[in-house]
Amino acid sequence: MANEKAIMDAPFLEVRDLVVEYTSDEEVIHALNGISFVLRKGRTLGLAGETGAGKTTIAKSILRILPERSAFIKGGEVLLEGQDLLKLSEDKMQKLRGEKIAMIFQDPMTALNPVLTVGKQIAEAIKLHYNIRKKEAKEQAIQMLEMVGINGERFGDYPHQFSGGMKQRVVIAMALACRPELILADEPTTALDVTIQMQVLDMIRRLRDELNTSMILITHDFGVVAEVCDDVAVVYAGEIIESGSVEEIFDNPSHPYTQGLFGSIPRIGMDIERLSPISGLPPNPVNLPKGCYFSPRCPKATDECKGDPIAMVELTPGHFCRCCHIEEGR
Amino acid sequence: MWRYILKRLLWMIPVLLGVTWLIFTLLYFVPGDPAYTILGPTATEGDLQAMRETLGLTDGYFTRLFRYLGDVILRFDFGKSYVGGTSVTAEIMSRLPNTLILCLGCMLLSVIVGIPLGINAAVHQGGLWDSGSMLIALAGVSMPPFWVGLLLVLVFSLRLGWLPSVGYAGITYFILPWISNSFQGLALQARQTRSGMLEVLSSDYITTARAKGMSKRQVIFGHALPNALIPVITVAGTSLGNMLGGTVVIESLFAIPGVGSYMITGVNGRDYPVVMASVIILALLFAIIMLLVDLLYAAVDPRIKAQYSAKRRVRG
Amino acid sequence: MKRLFKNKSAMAGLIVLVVIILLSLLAPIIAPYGYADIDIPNMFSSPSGQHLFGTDHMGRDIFSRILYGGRASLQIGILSSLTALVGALIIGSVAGYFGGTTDNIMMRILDVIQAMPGFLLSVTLSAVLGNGLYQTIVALSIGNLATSARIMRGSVMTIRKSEYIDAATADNTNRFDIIRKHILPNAFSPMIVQATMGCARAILTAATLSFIGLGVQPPTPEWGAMLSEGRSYIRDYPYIITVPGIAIMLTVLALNLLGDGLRDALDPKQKR
Repeated sequence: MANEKAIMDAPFLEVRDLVVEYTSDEEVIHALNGISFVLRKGRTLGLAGETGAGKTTIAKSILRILPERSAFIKGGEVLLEGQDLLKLSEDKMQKLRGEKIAMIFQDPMTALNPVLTVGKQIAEAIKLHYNIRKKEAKEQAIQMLEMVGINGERFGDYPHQFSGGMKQRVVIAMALACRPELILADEPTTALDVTIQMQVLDMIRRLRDELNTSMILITHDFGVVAEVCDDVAVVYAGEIIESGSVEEIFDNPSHPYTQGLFGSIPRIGMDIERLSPISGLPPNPVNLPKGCYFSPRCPKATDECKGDPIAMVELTPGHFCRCCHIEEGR
Repeated sequence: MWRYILKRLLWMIPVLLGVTWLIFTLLYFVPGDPAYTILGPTATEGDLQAMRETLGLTDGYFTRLFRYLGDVILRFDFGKSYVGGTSVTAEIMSRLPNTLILCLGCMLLSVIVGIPLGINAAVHQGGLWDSGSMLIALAGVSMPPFWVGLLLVLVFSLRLGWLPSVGYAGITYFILPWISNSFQGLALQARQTRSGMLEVLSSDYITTARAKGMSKRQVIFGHALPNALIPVITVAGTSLGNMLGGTVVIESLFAIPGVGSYMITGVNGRDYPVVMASVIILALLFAIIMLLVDLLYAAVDPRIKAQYSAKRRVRG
Repeated sequence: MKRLFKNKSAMAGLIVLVVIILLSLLAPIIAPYGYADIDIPNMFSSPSGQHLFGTDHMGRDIFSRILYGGRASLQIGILSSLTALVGALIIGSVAGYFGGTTDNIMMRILDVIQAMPGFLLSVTLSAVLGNGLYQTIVALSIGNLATSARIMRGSVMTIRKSEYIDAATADNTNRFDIIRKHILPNAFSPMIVQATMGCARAILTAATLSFIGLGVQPPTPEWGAMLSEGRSYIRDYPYIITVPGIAIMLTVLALNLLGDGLRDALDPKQKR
C-alpha cells in the first residue's frame, strides 16, 4: 500500500538546488541561488515573482536553452521522472525538447520567425519528432491551428499578418503540437491586451485539461495564478521564498514579501485609502546581500536575518516558507 | 510580385536617362577643343572650324543633347571616337564580354567566400575563427584593390611565375584580377554577414526554435540564415557597385581590354564619346545588378513580398 | 563616449590616426629630404640609415615622400568628408523636414547621382573638374554627400514625427530653430560615423585616382601616385610599392577601426 502510494506520489518533475550564473562584461550575475521545487503529474505550478527574479531562467534551465556563452548552470539537479536532465547528452535533450517538454514564450511579437509561414513553423515542430511525410505534418499543423481557434486556411500566412493575440495562439499551437507532457508557459498573456488575456488563458486551461498536461506557469500576476494554478511558488532574487497550494498561500501568505505582494493588489471590497507597495527595489544580482535577500526591504528584518542563509521551514504540510519571523508574520 | 518587377524596370528608364543627361551635361562643360585633339597642332583654324561643324559641336546645348539621346536610344549609336574615328559602339560591344567575365567572377567570389566566412565567424564568436577571419576582413576593407593586385602580381607572377599578369588569353589570366577586385567586397560581405548573424542569433525566435528540439545546425541554416541574409543583401548592392567601379582600375592594371579600361583611355585622351558611352554602359550594368539585388531582397523577406503581391492581407 | 574609450581597437585606431596626422603636419620639419629632391646616382637604393625606406627610380627619398604624401591624402580625406558632412546635414535636414515636393525633387537628384557606381562618378567628375588637389576634394565630396544626405534625411524624418517636435511646434517655435535645436543634435551621431567611414573611402578613392593618372598630379607626392610610378620596377625593387601601400592601408585601417568604435558606442543595441 505504502509502495503504491509512494509511486503515485513520486513527483513528475523535481528541481533540487539549481544554481545558475550569467556573466556579462566580466561581472557575475547570480540568477538562481538554489531553486528547489516539486511538480506532480497533472498539476499546474505557478512561479510568481517580480521581473528579474529568475523565473524565466528556471524554465530555460529545465529545457537547457540558456544562452551558451553567457549562462552557466553551476549546480543542482532537474529530475524529470527520476532522470536528471542536466546530465543528459545534447542529442537526448533535443529529443525531449518540443516533444516531452514544450515552452510557450512571453513575447509573441518576437517568438515567431518572420520569414517562415506559421504553418511551416508548426509542422516543423511535428516533423522534428515524428517520422511522417510532409503532407501529414501539414494536416496535423492545420489541426493544431484549428484547435487554438485559427482558421486552418491560414497555414501559409506569415507572422506579420496576424495580430498579437493570434500570434500567441500560434505559439501555443506550436508548443502543443507534439502533445508534450510538461508545458513551461512563460508569462503567456503578459504581452497581450487585457481582453485577449482571458481568452488565451481560457484556451490554455482547456487544452491542459484535454491533454492532461503538467504545467509550470510563470507570471507576475496573482490573478492568473488564482485562475489557472493548483500550486504556487514565489520567487525572489533567485530563490523560492514561499511555496504551497494556491488556497493555502492565498489564505495565509506567510513571508513578508508575499504579504507585501498581496497588500499591493487592489481588491474590490477593500476599504483602504492607499495601496501599500513594497518599498525599495530588488537586490542587485551581482552583489546579493548576506543572509535573507529580502531583508533590506523587509519591515520585520532583524540582525538575525542578515547573517546566515535562511532555510526553508514547513509551516503546514505542503506550505513552505523561508523566513525566520514566521510566528509573528500572521 | 510581377507588378514589383515591372515597376522597378520602368523606374530604371528615367534613372538611366537622368544619368545620360548628367554625363552629357558634365562633359559639355569641360574645357578643351575636341577638334584640336583630333587634328593636332598642325591644323589651321579653318580646318578646326570645319571639323567642329562635322562633329556637331557648333550646335546649341539642347540640340546636341537630344541628338545624342536620339542616337543612343533609337539607333544604339554612341558615335565615333575622337581618336581614330572608330565606332564606339562596336568597340564597346567587343570589350563588354571581358568586363562581364571580370564582374561576374568577382561578385560570385565575394559572395561564395565572404558569406560562409561571416557565418562561421558568428557561430564561433570569440574563438579563433572569429578573430582570425575578422582580422583578415578588416585588412581587406582597408587595402586598395589595385595594391592587392600589385602585390599578387609581385608574388604569383614575378616571383613564383604561377600566373600571368597581363593579357586576357584564357581563364588563368582572370584569376589574379578576380582575386584583387573581389578582396574588398569579400571582406565587406564577411563582416556584414557576421554582424547580421550575431544580431539574429540573439533573437527570441531562435530560442523558440531550440525549444522545439532543433539542433544547432538546423537552427543556423533553417532559421538564422534566412533572416541574417536580409541586411546582407541590402549591403550587397553597394558592395557590388564598388566592385563595378573597381573593374575600371583592375582592367587597366592587368591590361584586360574591357569597358573600364576603355573609359580610362578615353578620359586620359579627352575622347568624350568614349567616356560617355563607357559610363552609360557601366551605369546600365549597375542598374541591372541593383534590380536583381532588390528582387532577391523581396524574394527573401516576405514582408516586402506581401506589399507587392495581390493577395489580400488578413488581420486576425 | 565612455564606451568608445573602452573599445581597445577603436582607441588603437585613433592613436595611429593621430600619429599619422602629426607626422604629416610635421613633414617639413622631420623629413630628411625634400620630396622632389632628385638624386639619380642614388636611385633604387635599399632601405638604409641614410634613406629609411630607400629611394625611388629618381633617387628621391621614399620616407620623405611618404611623409609629404600623407599631407595630400589626409587633406583630401578630411576636407572632402567634412564638406560632405556639412552638405549632407543641410540637404538632409531640409529634405527630411519639409518633405513633400522639396523632398521629392532632392531625392530624384540624389537618385541620379547614386545611379552611378561611386568610383565612376569620381572619375567623371575628375575628368570634368580637372586634376589637382582641390578639384579632387570637390569631386570626392559629391559622392559621399549623396549617401550621407539620404541617411540624414531618414533620421530627420523619424525625429520629425516624434512627439517632442510636436511640442516645440505647438510652442510656435520658428521652423529653422526647430531644425537647429532639436533635430540636428539627435540626427548627428550617425553622421559622425558616416563622415569617418567617408574619410576612409575618400583616401582610398584618391589613391586610386592618382594611380590611374587623375587626381593629384606630380610633383606633389601622393601615395597612390607613388604606387603608379613604381609599378614598372616592382620586379627588382619591391619596396617601392610595399611602403606606400602600407601607408594607405594603415591610415584607412585606423579610420575604419575608429568608425567601427564610434558606431558601436553610439548604437546601444549592438552586441559585438
